[in-house]
Order: sequence, then structure tokens, then C-alpha cells
Amino acid sequence: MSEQKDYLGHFEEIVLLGVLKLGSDAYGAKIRQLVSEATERDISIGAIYATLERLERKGYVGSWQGEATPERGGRAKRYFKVEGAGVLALSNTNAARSRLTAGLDLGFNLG
Amino acid sequence: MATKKRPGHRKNVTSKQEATSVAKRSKPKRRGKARNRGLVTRKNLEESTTLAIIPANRALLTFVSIFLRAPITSIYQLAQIMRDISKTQTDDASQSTLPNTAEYLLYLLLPRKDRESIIGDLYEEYPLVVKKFGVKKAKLWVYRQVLCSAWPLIQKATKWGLFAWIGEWIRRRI
Repeated sequence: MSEQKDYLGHFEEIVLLGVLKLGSDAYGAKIRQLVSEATERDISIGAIYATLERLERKGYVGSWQGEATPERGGRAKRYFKVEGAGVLALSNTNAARSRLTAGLDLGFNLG
Repeated sequence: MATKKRPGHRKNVTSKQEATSVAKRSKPKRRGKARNRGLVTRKNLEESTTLAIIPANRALLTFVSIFLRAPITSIYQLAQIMRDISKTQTDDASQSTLPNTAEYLLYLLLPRKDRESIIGDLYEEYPLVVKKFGVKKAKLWVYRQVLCSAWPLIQKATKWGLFAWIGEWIRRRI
């Protein structure tokens, strides 16, 4: 029997893609802004952190404390980066989507 | 028939002139009493506030009081309140710090691990929202963020908190 593959939820996938896109500058406020612009919804910072923590527990992202800056009231940033397992989960989810939509004429591109 | 005379009762008090003179005499006495009672007077207000330093201010406030038919003291008080409000608003805009209540709510609701980073993120974004929409709307935005942020984090915390509580209860029973 083949190994069970991991798939991502809709919001998890969006947040993970956001972290991937921001690269070394991926921290809470920046991820929130990027995801809000992409989804055209005002997403709360708490929702982003709750999702990131879930992803971290699954081993898809890693985090570390950054520097404290005066514009943040002397509070440190928490940076995130996508781990190998996260990239694999993204790839699995994308592959499953491609298999499901193969041969379907939706009239738009799923990406 | 003989009439009884009360002590201090005057015979001829019916003349109008005497009545008006009595009224005139009694007016300043009442004012004096009001002052003694420590009521707010224009002089006191002018001393306590800095509004009357500029003569133009004084003239404008007097004009407003005449126009609204309101006592000058209340106009001074109103002007002072408005001035204080505008001052706090400009202070907020220049400092661009989160509202104290919002920050305190975050401290109460967020787990220690996320507290610093989430508050820092809101600190960073707040001046941008103030610049874009103004202080009032920025404050609304912050409170919305606080409420929406707290919910998923509380859900997570209570889920794990409940498991921890059940585990502790079982451990004590065994």
C-alpha cells in the first residue's frame, strides 16, 4: 500500500503560498497584507497566526524570532519559512487538483 | 378695632419705588452669594484655561454665547472640552500608538507565545491605516482585528486547555 499523502486546506494553501512568495521577509503583518490583497478580503492577524501555528505543528513551516524595531513598539518579529514537508504538501494538493480537473471544461484556468 | 403689630413689619411698603429699590439692593447680594458658593465664573475659567489669552478668542466666545443665548461659562467649558478632544486626536495621530484598551485586550486574550509578535504586527500596521483612513476608522480597524484575532486563538487555546484539564483530572483520580 502506498504512503498516505498530506493535503492542505484551502486557507492553509493560501497562507503557505504567501510565505513562499515573501521568502526571507515573511512575518505576520506582511503575510496578512499579501493574503488580504490576494483574496480581496480583510483577514485578521489572529487567523493568520492560528493557521501558521497549525502548519508549524504539522512541520510544514518553521519560525524564529527576529529583531525588535521602534516602529513595532520595541517588539520582535516572528519570521516564517516553508520547510520541505510544506513544499511536498503543496505539490500533492496541486497534483490532486490537476487530476480532478483534467478533462473538465471550466472556462477558466485553475493555475 | 385695634390691629396687632408684628415686629419688623413696616407700615407703608406699598409704594412702587421702594419695591424696586429693594429689588435692586437684593440683586448684588445674590451674586455675592453665588460667588461665595464657589460656582464656575468666567474669571475662574479664564484663569484655569488658556482660551482667553488671545483677545480674539474672548471676543469670539462672547459672540457665540450671545448668539446661542447660553451663559459664557458653559461656552468656555464647551470650547475647552473641544480643544482637549482635538488635542488628544492629534497626539494619537502623531504618536500612532494602538489604543490602550485594544492593547490590554490583546494582552488578556492572546497566549504568551503569540502576544509580542501579534501586538508588534498591529503596531506596525496601525500608522498606515491612520494615514489612509484617519484616527477614528483606524481605531475601529484595530478593535475589529482584536475581536477577529482573539476568536481563532481562543478556540485553539480552549481546545487544548480542555484536553489538559481532562488529563489533569484523570491523573488525580488515578
